[in-house]
Amino acid sequence: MRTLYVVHVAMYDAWAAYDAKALGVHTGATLRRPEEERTDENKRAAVSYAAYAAAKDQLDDYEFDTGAFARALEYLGYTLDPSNDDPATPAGVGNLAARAVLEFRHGDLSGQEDNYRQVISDKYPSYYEAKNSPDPESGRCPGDENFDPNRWQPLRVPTGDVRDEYGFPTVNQNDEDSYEDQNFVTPHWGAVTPFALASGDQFRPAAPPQFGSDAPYTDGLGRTMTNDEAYREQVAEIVEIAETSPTAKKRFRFTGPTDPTAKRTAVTSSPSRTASPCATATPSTTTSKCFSRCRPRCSIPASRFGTPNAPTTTMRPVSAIRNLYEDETVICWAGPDRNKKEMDGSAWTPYQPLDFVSPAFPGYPSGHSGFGAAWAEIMRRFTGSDRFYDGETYLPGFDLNRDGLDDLIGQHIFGVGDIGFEHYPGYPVELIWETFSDVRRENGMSRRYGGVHFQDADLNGQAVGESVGALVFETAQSYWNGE
Amino acid sequence: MKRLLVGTLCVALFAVIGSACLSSSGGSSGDAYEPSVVLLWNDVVTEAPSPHAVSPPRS
Repeated sequence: MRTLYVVHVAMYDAWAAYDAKALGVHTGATLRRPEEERTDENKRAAVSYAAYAAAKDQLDDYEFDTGAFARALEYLGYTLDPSNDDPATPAGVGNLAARAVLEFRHGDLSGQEDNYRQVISDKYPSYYEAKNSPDPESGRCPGDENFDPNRWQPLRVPTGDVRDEYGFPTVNQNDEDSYEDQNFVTPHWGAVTPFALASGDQFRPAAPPQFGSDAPYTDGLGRTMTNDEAYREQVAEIVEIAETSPTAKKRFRFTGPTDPTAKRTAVTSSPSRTASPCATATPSTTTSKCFSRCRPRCSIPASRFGTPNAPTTTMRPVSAIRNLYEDETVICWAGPDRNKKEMDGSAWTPYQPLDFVSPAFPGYPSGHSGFGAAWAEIMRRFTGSDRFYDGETYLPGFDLNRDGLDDLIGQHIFGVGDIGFEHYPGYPVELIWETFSDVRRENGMSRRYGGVHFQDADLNGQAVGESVGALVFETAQSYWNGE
Repeated sequence: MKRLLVGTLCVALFAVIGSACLSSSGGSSGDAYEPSVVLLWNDVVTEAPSPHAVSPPRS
């Protein structure tokens, strides 16, 4: 996400040089070109040179190995010109725009130069130390006396070197090659300079419910109870979802077996591409502007939502359930292609790849929920409406489910087959989101279905995302309006 | 069914979100679809593997 942000801001700043009033994020009006140079061809070239320079900086090893960015530049008809800093040429504008962005971002406390290793700063003056442990011999695992049910637990994740009787990755505690222990990924991210926010913690929500506390707590649905009651209720919800998922069924508009070909053929005969949300502006203008809105919110990595202020180094469901339901029988996903079965709560596992289990950072609030809500808020403001699916607007050239047909905006038809970590043998399912708000809610709820976040991590994450999206939109707007 | 629902949500929602961002960025101005230069660069960068953050040093 950070990489995409950096590349898109570089492209935006290059584009802004050829606009009459837009200001670059890091170049202001310093690259402004005279009116006679403000051609589509110059914009296209400058944007490409900026993208190349930024992408190469962010992913230098990848470019060294593949040459993918140089090939893209060549594909577009340009030749490498990295030393050109003449603002009278599009290559120079692109290089200068990228340089300004990169100079700023290299000093934003992300730790980019050191592979994003934790950066010590005034905000985070010491290295993160996990209170719980992945080592079952440590005495700090679920069920142990010294396990803290309010703090994040790094997990011991199988590498795949050792397989179980079904051929799936498993951990052998006596074989160090069979597992890796998680470490908190980018625990320093709350100190990174944001695009629009005054600081990384500007919209950080209050702490989630605390196990063992009788203090009052108001949850994301507005209900007040004790912290402990809320904690237990939200853990129980994830256990119930894993067992039954009744609410999940209600949240989808199932159409059962579908014949998408017939439906789409009929609609394709009268395409309405102009209904695309941003279709009122010229492509080049709209593209640069929309991405400068859509992407800056992506400068927030998932781990940013769980920076190590005391209350936010919070538990994920897998650890909380294994602790709270130890010695109780639960019904849970039993692994790829093995459906659900009864098992001891200490063995509960989320519906995730076996060599992933849960992300390597705390779970509150949910970054996934935040990103989705930020996106929804920006799209709602950009289009002036909450409407998403209209049943007739296609995404020309996009076939995300690889069924050979263009996709309808706001719809996804999920086919039969491999879904990443197991096989789905059922019938195709049509998912439709009529509003951006629907997307936001479903996107957040998916984290509870997947067993990686609790209710308030989702709901409060959405609230954070909405606030971030609104501020990012206003900030981006001020740039291209030259304010 | 639960497994399907979870899998679909995780995959489809981000797919739809991503596609909507791309669509709304105005990729075409006529009948023929020609991805804009911004979309092309977005795709090229997206195909690259994410940088892997290394573990914090242990004290």
